Amino acid sequence: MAAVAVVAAVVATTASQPPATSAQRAYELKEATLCPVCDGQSVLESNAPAAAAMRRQIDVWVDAGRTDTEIRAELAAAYGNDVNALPPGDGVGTLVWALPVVVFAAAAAGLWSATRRWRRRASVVDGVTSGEAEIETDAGGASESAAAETGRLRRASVITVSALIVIGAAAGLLVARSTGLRLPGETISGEIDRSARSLLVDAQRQFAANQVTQARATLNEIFRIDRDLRGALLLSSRLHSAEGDVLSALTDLDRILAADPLDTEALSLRGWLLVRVPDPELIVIGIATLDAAVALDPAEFDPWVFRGYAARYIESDLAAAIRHYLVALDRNPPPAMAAQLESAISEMEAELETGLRTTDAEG
Amino acid sequence: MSRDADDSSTHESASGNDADSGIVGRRPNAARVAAVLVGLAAAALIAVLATRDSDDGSIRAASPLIGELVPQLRGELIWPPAATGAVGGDRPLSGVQIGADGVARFDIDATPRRWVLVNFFASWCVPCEREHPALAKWVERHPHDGALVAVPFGDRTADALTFYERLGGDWPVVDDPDARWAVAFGVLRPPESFLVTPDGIVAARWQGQITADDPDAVIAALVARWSAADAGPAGSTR
Repeated sequence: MAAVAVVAAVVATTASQPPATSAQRAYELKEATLCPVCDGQSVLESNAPAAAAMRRQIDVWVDAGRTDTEIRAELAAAYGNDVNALPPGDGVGTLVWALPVVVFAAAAAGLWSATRRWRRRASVVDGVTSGEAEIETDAGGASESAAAETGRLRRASVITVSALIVIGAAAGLLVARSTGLRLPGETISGEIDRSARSLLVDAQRQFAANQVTQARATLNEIFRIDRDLRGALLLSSRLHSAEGDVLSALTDLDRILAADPLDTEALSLRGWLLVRVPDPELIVIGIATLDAAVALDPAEFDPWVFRGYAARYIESDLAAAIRHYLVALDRNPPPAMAAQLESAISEMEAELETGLRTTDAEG
Repeated sequence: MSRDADDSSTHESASGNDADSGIVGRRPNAARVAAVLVGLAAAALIAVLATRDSDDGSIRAASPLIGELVPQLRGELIWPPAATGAVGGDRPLSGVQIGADGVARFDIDATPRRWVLVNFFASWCVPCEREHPALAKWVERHPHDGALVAVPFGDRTADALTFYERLGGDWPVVDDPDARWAVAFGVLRPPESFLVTPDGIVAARWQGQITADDPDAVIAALVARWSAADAGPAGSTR
């Protein structure tokens, strides 16, 4: 019976009534979130801009159907765990959740054993009043059996009480686990910690360290989460191109360009891949693609270098190549690249001059 | 009856007075010691408050974000006007791209090989206005390896735009109408700035007005540490 009561209590606390409306849910979340710039005020009460920002964002999250746990974890990830008015579900914070349940179980157990004892005593007293004659004749035997009975009862109640406390403690921990705040590192899904974007950082490091196999494995993992992550597609394309698989590299880039036809990085990489294919038709498309990238006037140097390379080696238009290399230099590439560009420019300038001189001589 | 009550109360108060005087008589120093202690504590407090640095500088602040991947800050630009008409203008902005719909957007993931300084400001915030020249100076110092992006915090879009129209700024300002980025970065009060490494890890956070040297000191320290470890950031992939 007491066990049923404990279970009922646990169920009542864990499966507390879901808020009727999303506005009510948002209200409760705001109430359970502490304003990070004011003392002891919840986000609901505070007028601070930070609290207003958090209120606004909680509304957006609730409307977007994010769970309470997710929202609390997001807030804790940005502001720290202290913004959560609900204590955490592990560590010392467990006590906050577990103790009430344990106390409830202990109280129930105490009450149960107390009523048992009172009932026992009452029946003994009844026996005394109803059988006065018996006491006179058989006093010793009755008190002996009563003492044995009490001992047995005491043992039974000790066992029951300790069992109840154990059940209570377990139930308390359960409540703490399910109700308490889940910290950013211990999300149920783990998605927040190992997002596609954080995996991409790993993949980029692996690629930079020339660990091609690992980088590809990480990329595959990313694509299982998010098939269209731009950075991952770019890196995958570079990886394919480094392995000489131009077709796969182009497929990756086309995926980016399908989402954003004016993505300069994808455009310039695509053009760069195409101009190096030994196929005149593809080279023409490649040059057109590089022109499109350069026309967008990107902040990075890469497209200008690629376009200059195409002008120099494919179109043999040295003046255009120099022009593009100069823009690339203006975009401040790394020192090694800058040195290469500078020497290429002076080479071409010399070439142009001798070319001019020969035309002069001929003319 | 009432007289009885009066009597008893007088009696009690009299005996209470006796007890008080008895205590004082027994321990005459207790009150004096307590008074001296309180006085000393007050003097110490005044001394601490008087000698402390006033609060107008920036503070390198802790943040759960430090060492973590930066939130993927992206959104429509409200500034500069050139970027909303045509990409660039005088200088192309890293991370800014015009979509097929003609709207200019910033994406922090599209700033390759650059340190990104994310600055939260408000038009009503005086230190933000004082900080503005320092931001311009930092941008000027890092035309090719840095990108600054500003985000209005606790401000109306129109007011934030007026602030930039008045003070200028050669960097993108990303609109944040739902406070999405303010909350993602855990911003408390403007101005607040975050430095992000080229591979997208939050390296530092400042609360309050910064100078152009503040982020540069962190960059220099990190670059020195990386070159000592002989492993640069993964930003340069070519």
